[in-house]
Amino acid sequence: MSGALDKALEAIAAGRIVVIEGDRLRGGDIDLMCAASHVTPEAINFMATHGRGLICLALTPERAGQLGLSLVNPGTARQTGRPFARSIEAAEGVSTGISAADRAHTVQVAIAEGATSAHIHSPGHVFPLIARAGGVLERASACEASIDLARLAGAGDAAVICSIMRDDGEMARLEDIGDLIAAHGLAIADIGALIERMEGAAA
Amino acid sequence: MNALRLTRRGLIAGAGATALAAPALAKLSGMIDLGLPGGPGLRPTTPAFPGKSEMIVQRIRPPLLEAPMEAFAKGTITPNDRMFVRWNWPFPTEIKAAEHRVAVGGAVKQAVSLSLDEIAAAGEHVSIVAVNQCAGNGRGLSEPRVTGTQWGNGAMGCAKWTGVRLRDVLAKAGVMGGATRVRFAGLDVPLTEGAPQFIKSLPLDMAMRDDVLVAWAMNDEPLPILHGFPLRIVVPGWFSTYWVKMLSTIEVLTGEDESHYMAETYRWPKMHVTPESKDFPTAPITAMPPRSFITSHADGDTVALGRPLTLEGIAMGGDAALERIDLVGKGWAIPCDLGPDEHGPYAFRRWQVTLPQVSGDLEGIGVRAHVNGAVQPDTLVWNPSGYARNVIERITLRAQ
Repeated sequence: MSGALDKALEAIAAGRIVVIEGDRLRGGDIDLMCAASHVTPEAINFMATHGRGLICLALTPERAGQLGLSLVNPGTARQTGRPFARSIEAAEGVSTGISAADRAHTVQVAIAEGATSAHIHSPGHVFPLIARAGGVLERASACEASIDLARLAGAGDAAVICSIMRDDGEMARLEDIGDLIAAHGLAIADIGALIERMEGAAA
Repeated sequence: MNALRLTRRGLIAGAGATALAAPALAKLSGMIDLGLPGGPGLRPTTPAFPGKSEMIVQRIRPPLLEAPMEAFAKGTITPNDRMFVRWNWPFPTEIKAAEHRVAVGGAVKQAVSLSLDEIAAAGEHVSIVAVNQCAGNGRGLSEPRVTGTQWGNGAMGCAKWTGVRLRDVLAKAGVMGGATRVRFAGLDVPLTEGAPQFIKSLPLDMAMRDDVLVAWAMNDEPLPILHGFPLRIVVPGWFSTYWVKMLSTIEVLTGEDESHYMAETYRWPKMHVTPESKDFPTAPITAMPPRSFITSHADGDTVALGRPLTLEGIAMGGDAALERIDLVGKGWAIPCDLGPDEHGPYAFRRWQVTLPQVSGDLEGIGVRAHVNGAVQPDTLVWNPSGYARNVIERITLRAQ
């Protein structure tokens, strides 16, 4: 189990895309993930092609605050439980904002050292998620897991994630993506294993 | 004696070289519309899989293949080329029959590793005709929609299964006192390290039942690779999640089974729930409820106004014998003629009814099966995984 996690961390450190599984809040949906610090137009294109869910930028509360981002719905009423902030676009350097290159650029701008609200516009084509401060130990979901994975891999504290949808429009489970894993040598990061690792480190 | 043994060997090993070739994407034929209420319903009927005629391809690898409803239009036995296919994890595409072993262990007097010949010689050869149905059959028709493979109603089929009783195989090892369950594993393996193995267990009393088999034949042919060559468990009346394929391990347990596919999935609520319900108690999905289908006509078909109309179809009792079938509409019910009981309580039976004259459109007609004094429900027993669907399936026919 931890061997698999180590492989995933190595892949993340090397800038590769991995699969996150074991989300406990989203009914078993699985995601593609790469460290935001390593995002490329190719990574965004891969997610749009093979993930096909919403491409999101998982941010720590500190970084979200720095960018002037807050939860779209901070209350408890009519709450989906998804920690979305308003969607964003790089203030400069994008065309229509949706291309793989534009979205990669928006991510890079948003996570740049010293980035502020002045550097992003809204609405846009990248969807920030604001993680809980306590990370995956506080909320066992792909958003928090992706940030903790990036940190453990030494690849910053932000991540790009995209849920994986099957050809028929149904959300994929690990058993559906054998071909994708094999074709691209994707490593799998299990949220349960990540939690175990982090609880071990905390103890 | 010797001749009998060779026959057995021949029967079991015959398909040893069967290989599941990589599906060829050559044939570009049709799509089938499953008419799912909650999402995309178009599915390809390609690629073709070995030993299969036209099937609805829900997933290529590992395969999820659904039978088109036309497969049930005639007779009560589903031919092997139309039986649905469902694998949780990838599986070997070639198995050497002579080298295959089934390990019987756990709470037994003496753990054994049995060859196919030893399995075949473990007891009397038994054949039983039984419906094999995915616990999620019809899931895609759930309203509100639920997640999981969006099956129409073709994840089922009825075949003749031949093998030896599981209890005779268990006797080769000797079940110890205190045994509670019997767990099965096959040769399918999870895609990644840490993912749960597909293992399932039966309560001991089920495992010891007279008709629970370790089967090697399906409709008098060796089990095709896609259906679990060389051996699979057969549990008449229970959903096929327990019918573990490519059987390689039998483990006698002394406690509860905490494995993933028993303790966390293939479970359904113990109470009425809605999509908003949370934290309700669940139980493993086990015995099948009755189901029935009109196979002579599909939703939206036209029928001749003013003429007699004969409708027919199939029905199953689930884990008990069918008593009666009614044709039902909005506020009316007509008893149907139940066809002969050809194969026993766990098999499909045909039914038929003739309406003397079609006087207009037939809106929302369906059939309902009676079993043990109960009938199929008029409204869906909704559950979050879409298991054990047995609501009356309704269609509308237009009179012209």
